[in-house]
Amino acid sequence: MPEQQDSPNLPDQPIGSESQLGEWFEKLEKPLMIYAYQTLNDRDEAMDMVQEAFVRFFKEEEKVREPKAWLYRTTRNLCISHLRKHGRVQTIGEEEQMDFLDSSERDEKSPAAQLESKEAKGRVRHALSILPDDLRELLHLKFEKKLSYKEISVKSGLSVSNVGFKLHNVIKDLTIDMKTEGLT
Amino acid sequence: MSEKELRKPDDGRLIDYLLNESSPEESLEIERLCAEHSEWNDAKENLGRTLGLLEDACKQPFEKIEKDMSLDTDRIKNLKSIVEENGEGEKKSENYSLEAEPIQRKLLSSPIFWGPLAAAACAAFLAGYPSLFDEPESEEVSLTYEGDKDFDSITKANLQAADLAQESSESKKSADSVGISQNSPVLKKVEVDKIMTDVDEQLIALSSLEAESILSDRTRKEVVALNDLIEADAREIKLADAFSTPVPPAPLTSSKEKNPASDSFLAAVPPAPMKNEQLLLPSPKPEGQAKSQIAYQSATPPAILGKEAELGPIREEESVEEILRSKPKGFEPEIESLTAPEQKDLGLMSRSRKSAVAEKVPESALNFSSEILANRRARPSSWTAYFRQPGPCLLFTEDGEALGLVESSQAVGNKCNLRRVRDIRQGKRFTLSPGAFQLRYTSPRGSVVILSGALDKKTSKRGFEGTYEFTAEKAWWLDQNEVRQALPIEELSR
Repeated sequence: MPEQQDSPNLPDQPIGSESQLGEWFEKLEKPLMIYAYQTLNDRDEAMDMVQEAFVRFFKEEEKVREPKAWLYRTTRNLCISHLRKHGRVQTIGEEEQMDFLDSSERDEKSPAAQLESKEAKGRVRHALSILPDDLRELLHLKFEKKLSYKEISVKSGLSVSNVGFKLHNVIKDLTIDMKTEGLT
Repeated sequence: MSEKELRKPDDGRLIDYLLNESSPEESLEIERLCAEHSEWNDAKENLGRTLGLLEDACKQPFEKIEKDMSLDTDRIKNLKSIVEENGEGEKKSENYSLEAEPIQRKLLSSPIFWGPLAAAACAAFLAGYPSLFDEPESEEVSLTYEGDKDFDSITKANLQAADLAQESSESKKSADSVGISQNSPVLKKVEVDKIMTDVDEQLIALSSLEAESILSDRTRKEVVALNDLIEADAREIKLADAFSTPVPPAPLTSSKEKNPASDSFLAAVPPAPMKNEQLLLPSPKPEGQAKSQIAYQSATPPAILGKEAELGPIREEESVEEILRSKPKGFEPEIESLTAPEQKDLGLMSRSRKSAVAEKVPESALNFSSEILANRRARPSSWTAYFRQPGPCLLFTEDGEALGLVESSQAVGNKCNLRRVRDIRQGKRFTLSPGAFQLRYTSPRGSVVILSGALDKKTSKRGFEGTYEFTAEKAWWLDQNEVRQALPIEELSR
């Protein structure tokens, strides 16, 4: 599919915002596009998946209780189905299942649990990727550099309580999202 | 802080605790709260999982997405059109729903809607528990055909009040039209006769409509198939109960001695004329062989199926009615032993059902075995892992009789602990006696490893708690021809 954004007559940004496709489209179009793109690594395919997810959403909007979780889950499922369909992903099991009895991790995680774990990790990485840079930096300092609130405060110039507050919010939101999407 | 507030977990405090940002006192307090309140503990675990994922995610560098990530105009237009269509669709459906509602109500209030459902329910009930209805029904039918005798009392006992009222009003109208007095004994008899005829018709229609399609002529073939099913079921029971917690053994009573006042619904079913042992074990083993390994302590006879099973030796392909028809009058063969309800059941069945039931079992069995055979077997590269790692496996007797799924614990050397998987079935209990058993492990690829060894009860201070200890003595793997190939058992000790 040709990339429409290359055409000078077709402005990209305003259409989505003027589309009156509802608040969930406004809020989640870009995050979902990024999510699908991160999974598929192809912009056109990502657009197809997101479009399909919204088509399904609009058809069942009234039945959907948690639109955000629903849209993420649908997009994820669509992307995985798409990859499987095109042979770009192997069902977990094929190779991993073959060896699971021999592996030392046999008792730790079943193939299904491993798949869930992978999905959860992908979802968290996506959540981090769409965070504002300053928040992502805070998380990086906390989880990668293992700094304390105080040390982060010194580095970032924020107060200790502000560091704690921001981290709490990010972690809480992510926990809720993951739970509603059934990933934790 | 109130108890309610204490119970509500504080995510902020928990996050600080999990990130090692809490003071020692605060950490102790959080640990206490988590220990005392499950809500706190759940929230802690939930947050802990997210933090673990965040930690993993932060280890890898983030790829920057330079491209604009929005849907293109065509796709947005498509979405818009779908939204508009949905909007119109909703309006239309609102209009339709206003019109459709009375129709639906009419349909629901119509006997056409409920009639077949009621008939199906009656038929299903008749099929499941025919003996519950046999005696009163046969009495009713015989009395009905006797004609004038006691028809008033039968009517009172068997007819629904609503039906009676309706029928009476109809009769009243017709009586008025011909000028017959309401109290006339002739009219009364005509009324009741009409009602009785209608009720008979209804009963026959109800029973024959659905029951005829369900209950089929049961032949020996079918009985054998049913016996096989029961045997399979009994094995499953053995499997499920093999590792049950000991309960006091129930007295082994015959079906005739069963307490009629039992709470069980099935207890109300008349006792089966056949012994359970005969039914469940059609090909009897030498005495002592099975008993040495499994103590069967069932107190619940499968009464309904027992009745059917007894028909096996009586006939090959003919129904009872056919046999009866083919014999000269006055000749009463061994069918005499059958009760009236049994004969009635058999008479109502169709042959198509019989063949369907008889063929169902072997077909499924064949499909199952072909699926197994389709898995190409290969020698497992590390067969000891099957035994060493905890996991599910199948337990067999030395004779190859499957006892069911068990969970093996982490093995030490050539020993591991086993526990039953799945729940105990009420009323039945099987215990394993120490002896020789086999474990069968199957990998997702289809590789099969079989271990043979001794099983013994494992007792703790509190006595036997359902755990058995298995000591492996021999090992094999199954090749593609299902032939056992020996594996060096000494590898387990390394």
